[in-house]
Amino acid sequence: MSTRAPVSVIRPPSVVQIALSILLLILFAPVVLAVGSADFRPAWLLRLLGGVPLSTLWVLGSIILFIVLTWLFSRMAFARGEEAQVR
Amino acid sequence: MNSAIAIGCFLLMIAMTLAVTIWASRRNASQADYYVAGGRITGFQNGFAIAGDFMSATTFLGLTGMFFVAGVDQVAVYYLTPLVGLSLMLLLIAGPLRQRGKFTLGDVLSARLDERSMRLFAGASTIIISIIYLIGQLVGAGTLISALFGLSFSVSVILVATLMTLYVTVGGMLAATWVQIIKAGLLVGIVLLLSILGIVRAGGVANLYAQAAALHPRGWEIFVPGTSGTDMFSSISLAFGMTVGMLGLPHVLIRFFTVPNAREAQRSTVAAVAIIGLVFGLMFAVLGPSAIALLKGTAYVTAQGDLTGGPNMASIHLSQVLGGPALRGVTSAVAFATILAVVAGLVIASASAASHDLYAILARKGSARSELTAFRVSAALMAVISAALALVFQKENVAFLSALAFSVAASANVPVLILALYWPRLTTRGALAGGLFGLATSVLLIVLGPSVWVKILHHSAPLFPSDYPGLLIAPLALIVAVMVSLSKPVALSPAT
Repeated sequence: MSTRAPVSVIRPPSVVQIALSILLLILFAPVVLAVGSADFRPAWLLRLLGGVPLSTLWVLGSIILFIVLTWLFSRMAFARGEEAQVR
Repeated sequence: MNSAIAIGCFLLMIAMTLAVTIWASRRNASQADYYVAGGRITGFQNGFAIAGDFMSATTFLGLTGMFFVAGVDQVAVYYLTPLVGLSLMLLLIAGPLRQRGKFTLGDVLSARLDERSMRLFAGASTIIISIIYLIGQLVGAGTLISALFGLSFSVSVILVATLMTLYVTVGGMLAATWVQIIKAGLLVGIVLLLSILGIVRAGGVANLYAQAAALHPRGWEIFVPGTSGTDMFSSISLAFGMTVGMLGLPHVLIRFFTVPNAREAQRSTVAAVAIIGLVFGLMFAVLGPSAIALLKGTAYVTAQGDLTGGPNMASIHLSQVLGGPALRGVTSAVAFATILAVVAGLVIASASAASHDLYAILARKGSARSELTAFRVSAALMAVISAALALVFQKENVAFLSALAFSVAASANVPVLILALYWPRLTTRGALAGGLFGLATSVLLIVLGPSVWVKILHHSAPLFPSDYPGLLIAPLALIVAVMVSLSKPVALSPAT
């Protein structure tokens, strides 16, 4: 196995890639902050919607959001690394 | 538990996975077949396999048990981190990784850096991470199988180690992939079935939540994060370690080499996120609350409020309450399949690294046939080593082993991998310095952290406050790699 990648095809991630990565972390941050501090917890999280706590719906919504975002990202060409056709 | 139904399901599962292994062995002819299933797995199939590779028994049994004890708190982070990690993997790693690698992480790194140094580093880090992860899985497997089927811990570990050696040495990646696909399908099915039965038994979703809140000592508070006293550093460290660590887990990364191209690698990630999201969503929203609502007040909970057989038995007890011995037998067999699929993936990753990176370099490029022999010998050796270590660590708390694997992956592999894919000025010296710094310091800080320094070594206070040092070490490893690369740069040329 002696595949060698020309250094010229190695490029920094695009602004879109960096922005979307940061967006993912921002979307995830409220859960992490809520777990780390009782002070962060807003009162509305304990309210019920159809008998289900809003905190549960919040996490479920996040899961659905990540599924949708992943599908959207998969339709973007940069994630395929097309600029790096090495093999 | 030792019922005839459970043992029947257990034997059926072994027979089914062995049949897959024999089928796969007849289709394997080349080195690529054994390492990456010939690169013929479709994106959708690979998505199921990634889900099967990632969702361990800890996930299926451990997180429901954690919800039973403490409600949503840290569980929410555990359920979301793999989805964030896989999304980041899609954005930053999956495509370029598939374009530049063939069989292992060593291929990707040596594609532009010194081959000998990078293969030695990647081989060593892959084996270390995989063995640490394997020990944790085998200790969990031994404990679980003893509880489920009445076998001794040693027999359980040896059984799993023997089966995983058979899958890998006979069936290679194709067998491991289909074991993972079958396991993921079974897991989706059983979680869906238990969820439906849980809702029906409770008389609807609203009743399920009301009963859980009424029966738990903390009432509705169990549905809100931030109530179990986790400090902010630990919360962020946990989330960081689990998310970024996932980007560097060798057994997940090599799954992207089993598909024919980068487009299928992307599809794999989308399918994996959808499957893991479905399972985790149901476990979080239904199985956790069902465990509280339907198990509290039964014979499965002691007077002190603990589950009989330990917290990991929540899903198994729940299946007994919802469907009697038959459903309990099926659920136990699915848990067993869950263990087999994960350990098979880990053995493939470590054996590939040992033969394709270490053996190939140390033996000065032996033939494909001799490398394949080295792959099989390595797989058996990994099984023996990890089983022996699992027997040594059987009395220890294994939670720190998972923390160690994720932290080492986040600290050693991820900075080097990201820089190798995206930074033209990375040098071999920089990659080695950053990778080795991450590897050594993450292991050291875990030893100095609460799980090892206090709980195992019995000191009064930890010298490092968290079990997840990745938050600190991964950025430092990145900085070390950059600084060392810049300190003695190499001239950029069209091809190195």
